[in-house]
Amino acid sequence: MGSTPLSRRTLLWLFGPAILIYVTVFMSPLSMVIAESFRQYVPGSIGSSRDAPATIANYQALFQPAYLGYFLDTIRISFISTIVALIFSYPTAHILARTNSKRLRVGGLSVLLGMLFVSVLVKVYSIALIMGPVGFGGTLSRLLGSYPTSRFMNEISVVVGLVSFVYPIATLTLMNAIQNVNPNYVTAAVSLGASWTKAYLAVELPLCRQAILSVGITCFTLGVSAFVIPLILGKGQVSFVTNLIYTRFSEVANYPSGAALATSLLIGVLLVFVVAKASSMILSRRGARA
Amino acid sequence: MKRYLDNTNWLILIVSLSLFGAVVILPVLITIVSSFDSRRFVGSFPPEDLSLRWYREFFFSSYYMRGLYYSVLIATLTAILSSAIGFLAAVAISYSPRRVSGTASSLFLAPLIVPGVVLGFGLLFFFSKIGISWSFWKILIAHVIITLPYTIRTSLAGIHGVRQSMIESALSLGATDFRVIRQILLPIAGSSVATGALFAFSFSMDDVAVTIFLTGTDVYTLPIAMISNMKSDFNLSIAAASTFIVLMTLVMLFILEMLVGIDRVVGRGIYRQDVSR
Repeated sequence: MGSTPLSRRTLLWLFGPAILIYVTVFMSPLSMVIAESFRQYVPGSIGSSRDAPATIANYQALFQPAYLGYFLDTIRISFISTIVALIFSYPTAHILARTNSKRLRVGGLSVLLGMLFVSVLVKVYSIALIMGPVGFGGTLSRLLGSYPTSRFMNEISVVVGLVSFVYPIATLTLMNAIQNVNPNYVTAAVSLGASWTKAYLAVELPLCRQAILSVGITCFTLGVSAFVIPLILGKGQVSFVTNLIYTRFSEVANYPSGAALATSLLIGVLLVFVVAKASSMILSRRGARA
Repeated sequence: MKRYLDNTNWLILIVSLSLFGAVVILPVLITIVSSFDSRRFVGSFPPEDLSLRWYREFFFSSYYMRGLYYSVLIATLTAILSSAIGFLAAVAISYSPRRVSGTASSLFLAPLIVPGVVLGFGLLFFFSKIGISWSFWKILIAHVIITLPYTIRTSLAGIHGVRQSMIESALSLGATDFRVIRQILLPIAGSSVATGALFAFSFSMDDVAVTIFLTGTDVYTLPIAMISNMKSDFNLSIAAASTFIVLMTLVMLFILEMLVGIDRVVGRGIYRQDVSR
């Protein structure tokens, strides 16, 4: 059973290049970040001193309210974007999954894949343009009772940027999940007297809950890891942890502090994945029982 | 009540589609139109007069063109290297014992989870430690690692379609392992490998978060040039650059459609196999 057609030696040769690359330029840089985060920062010198004793001062500094604010902003704005993206991508995904019109489907998919492929820079610049003074930013801010350069409006720009970034991914993934739900279940519910809306909400949606959870996690982690979107659309008023890490490198040259931020971000993202994996397992077990 | 609920269904649909339009498509369209604006400043939309001045600005700027040159060069090399290494790794994963393949594939997909900035920051330490100082190598190596998960994934999907019996009969007739890979697996999985290469090219063209830590004054990519212009002087030459990128994207989508067909990239799902045939 366990035998494979290719010999063990061949497999080793095939794995070789990839393993080499992963160990040298993926695992070792990450471990260097972790190591750096425990080094002492010496102001004035670039980087940290090599033979200084290990310290957790870089992490202690992160508990200052100013730093915590960056973490909270990152989490809050990513979470809002995730929810908005989920709410608005589901109906589109549903239609593309169920339509009988080949033209609508191929057209919709082309637009989605196009938007997936279009550089995030193009999106960011475009949104900065339309949210700017010559675009709709002024009108929109007046509608929301604010002014164009307020922090609130910049937050909205960042949310718009994140949503447009994750929307195609969310829609395509949800579409795949909806396609694999037997359409007859919904029809059966309707023929038994449920309204179409109720049939979708009570039959199709629960069957897709695992996909919805995993899409949500993907959107959230993409949001937390986003760099360009808050950098340009936040206009310096809204910054994510990623932007803070970059300024530790480009402006302050405080590498140990940047490394501590990076390590915390990495641990945070991994935690989200572990929790998501666990809850997805609970969901599937419950699904199997039902 | 039922009727009312069904109407809300349509309402939700219309709202979600118009949000999609407003957030995802409209801004890009406005950028494309604005790139033809003849005014010297970013004026109100729509432009009063059209011209190609911003394109002249873009194509005659040595700053942009240097970025474009390195972007295309690095993206091409990344696509080749990443799809080659990814294909080999995918073959190994497909024909390894369960336990090995499970561990390997989760290791290989790990860069997807790690935020780009964290990896970029780490690579900064790494390259200074091992003494690589020319940014070209730094960026190329970084782009190979961030695109490998995608090329491995697409190759895996292609190899999945190869019947086990074919390989076994070739081997039993005396073909070597590498002949099987070259003459059976590569031709059958070819379009998937090419799709992966295309993904790698486009992600390499697009990356900022990792690349921004590795650029030098002489070697940088187009996205980095655009970012620094966006921060210093928000003018419409970036709109021209964006339109150029959108055009490149369309060409790439066209190639993808030719290679495998967009419908097949996404898949129809198990209940709708018949419709597309």
